[in-house]
Amino acid sequence: MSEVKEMKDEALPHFMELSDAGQFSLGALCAISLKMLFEEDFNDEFKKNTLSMILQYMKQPEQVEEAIKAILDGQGIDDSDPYVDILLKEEILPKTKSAEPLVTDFITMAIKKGNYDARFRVLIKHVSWQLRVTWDTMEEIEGSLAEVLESEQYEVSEDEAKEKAKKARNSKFKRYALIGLATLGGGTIIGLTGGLAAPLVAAGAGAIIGGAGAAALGTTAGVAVIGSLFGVAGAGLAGHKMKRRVGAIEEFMFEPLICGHALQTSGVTKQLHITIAVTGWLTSKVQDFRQPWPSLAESREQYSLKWESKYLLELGKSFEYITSIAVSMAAQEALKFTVLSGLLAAIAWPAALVSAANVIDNPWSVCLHRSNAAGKQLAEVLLSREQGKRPVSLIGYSLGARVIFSCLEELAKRKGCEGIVEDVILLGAPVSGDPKYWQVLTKVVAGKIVNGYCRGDWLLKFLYRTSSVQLRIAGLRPVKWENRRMHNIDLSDVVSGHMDYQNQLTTIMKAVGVRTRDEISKPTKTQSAPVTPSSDKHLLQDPKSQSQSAPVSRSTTVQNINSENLASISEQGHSLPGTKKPNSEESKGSSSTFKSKEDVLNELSRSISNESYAGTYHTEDEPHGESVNKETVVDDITIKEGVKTLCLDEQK
Amino acid sequence: MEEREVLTTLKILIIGESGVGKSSLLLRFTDDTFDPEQAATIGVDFKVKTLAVDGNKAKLAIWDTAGQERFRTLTPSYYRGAQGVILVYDVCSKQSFNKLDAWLNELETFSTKHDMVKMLVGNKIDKEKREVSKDEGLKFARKHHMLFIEASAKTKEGVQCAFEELVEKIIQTPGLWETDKQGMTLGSNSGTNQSSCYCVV
Repeated sequence: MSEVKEMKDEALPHFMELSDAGQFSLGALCAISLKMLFEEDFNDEFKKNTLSMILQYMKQPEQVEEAIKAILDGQGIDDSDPYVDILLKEEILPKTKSAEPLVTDFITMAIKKGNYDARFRVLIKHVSWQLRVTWDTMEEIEGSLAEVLESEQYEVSEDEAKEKAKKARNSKFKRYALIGLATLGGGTIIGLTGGLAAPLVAAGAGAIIGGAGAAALGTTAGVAVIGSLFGVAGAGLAGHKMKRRVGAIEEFMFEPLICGHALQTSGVTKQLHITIAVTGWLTSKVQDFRQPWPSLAESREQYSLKWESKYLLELGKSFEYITSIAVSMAAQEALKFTVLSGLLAAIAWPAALVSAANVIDNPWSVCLHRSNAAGKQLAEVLLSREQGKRPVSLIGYSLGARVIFSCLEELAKRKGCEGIVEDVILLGAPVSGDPKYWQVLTKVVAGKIVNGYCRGDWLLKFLYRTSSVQLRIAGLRPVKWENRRMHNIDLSDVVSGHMDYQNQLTTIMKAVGVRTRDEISKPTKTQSAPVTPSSDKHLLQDPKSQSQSAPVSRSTTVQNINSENLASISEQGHSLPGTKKPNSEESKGSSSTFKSKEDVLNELSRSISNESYAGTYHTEDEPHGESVNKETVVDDITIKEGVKTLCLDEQK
Repeated sequence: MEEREVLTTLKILIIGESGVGKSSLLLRFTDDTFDPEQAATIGVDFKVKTLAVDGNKAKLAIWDTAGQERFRTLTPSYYRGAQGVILVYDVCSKQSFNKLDAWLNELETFSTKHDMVKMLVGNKIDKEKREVSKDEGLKFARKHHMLFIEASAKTKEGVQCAFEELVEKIIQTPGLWETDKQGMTLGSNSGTNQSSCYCVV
């Protein structure tokens, strides 16, 4: 009965160091997590395969397999705490003071077959979090495993260079025509990073992986595996050329986006996870698609999508124009009485604004259509795995969010769309907020879907003024869809108008929980604080430090926002966007008090958002959204009374 | 066809000290096998078996927990939702009998269904060096309102009977279980034997 079954693969070192109780618990923990994360029918196969792979790597006897599969089927319990407790008491953990070795084994296992499934990454994320391994640490481990893979490939390619060159010649140069081989130089690629990679190895991660993990990977990872993981012969996304047009797109390409050096083009290292950022519009000041994303640090390998710059520039200019009209109207007092009161009814837009509408309507509708087409094109690229078989996260604002949404919709219709996309962040998305259009995304998105919206986004409302869907636009309100993936985040306090999605992008990204540059470069690693705001019982600390650590970690993020805001206040001399209290004096006062364009717009959106707060949508925010709300509201207090108040507030 | 006839799915739990023969009882019941060298259970074992009692078919989902101390923190999580519990001791080990109180305590603490049916099983009666008499077992069972049977996984004696009695009693307890199908009520058989007493073999 308890005979060890014959295993296809060698066991992973750290898994085998666990006691049988630990191995059982790890299996059960994975089963419970899988069941919780991927409850949909179409994920059944993935769940079964993944779980049996995990059990195989731990060489579990049949008896354990049966019990754990029963847990996956939902026969047993879904409380993972006892298993976590057992695992954290395991002997091998004190050696490294954390469950890092287990996470290393997990990632190794996930990429061994040359296909890093987005769902697998979500599972690892979840399990790591339960085992108190921080998100930073997991990324570091991934990073160093990628290093190992790359150096491996480099060696192999030297050995086989001649033969490959011969083969390539024999194929009558046909293959040269393929985009993937643009960088061809003996078949494999990696020459350029082979040298660059070494200094980037994080000291900590190197120690974690050590010999064992890397060796386990090295023995099985062949060139094929690596090529598959990292994309067609390494040319990947940066080498993407539109071979086949889907719809009428004139421009569609990817540019590497290096965190902190938005305009730098070389020096991207291959990683196990990539992020694609999609810009919403261009202006005369922002003519480069990478420009709005200088601080994006969601993953270590990032790309920016360059699409339809001609049309997006036109749109941006009309955005600026219409905004200036709104401002001049405000100066004439017209705005307050017509726009502010009539906005919600959407029937009494000020005449001046409406008469200027043709300036914006045309480019807007052109760009709407083009963003759909670009989304379909993006879906083609992702499906053909030009990025390699590794998880992709997508982030975009305004029309960029629409590109992403259209891409996801297209993916959902296709076969083999599961396990490609991990997280999706949509900001001010001009797409329908009707849950029925979002539900299909379950199949495509493995991780979370964030909808960042602003109730007082008058420009977006204006653009949809003639359409009946106006009040159901995702960029204006939460998407009422009950799913663990869906996170609605109210940005009304951060965003004072549609233009802010570009201008305040860094602050917004922080508010929705996207990693930004100054977060990762922070020297103090708060190892003890979990990455996700967790229910406190998960913290394995003594109560004293527990009560301290959570507020501290939160207040730091708040402080970041604060300092930004403070800076912007001192620079521009206008009030905070989205101040909560409706300042009655100000709104009664004469228009001559308005000092700047921003000021007027702030006032405008504030009043709008105040009005819509009275509306029906107010109550149904996701918990996550509420917490962000709380943070940003707290902002105002802090600015006035200093950080101490905030901490006090938190402790209460 | 067979699926349709199943009246309900019952969750049964087997607990008791390490080495008293919980897994052997289960395997005798589900697979009709016996391994004298039965390895210690890791974590928990899970088996499904359909059983017909009084013309009613019940699907049993049986969780066989590990008795070893290091798995002890896991077992309480399996108690939730169990309709029946089989508490096993070894008739040749006084110590395993003495620990019964502790097991019952834990059961009280963690079980969610308080009218769950409990059965005490004295295992290994084929062995000669008996340390716990039948009377002692019976007394303990009476005191704690449990069903009682002595059995031997090795010789098959009492094994089938133990599970059948337990299931019968569960089915006779109203409110403890639900039908898998809508509209199906307690069968006509269930009303007849309400005055069940402790089963003694």
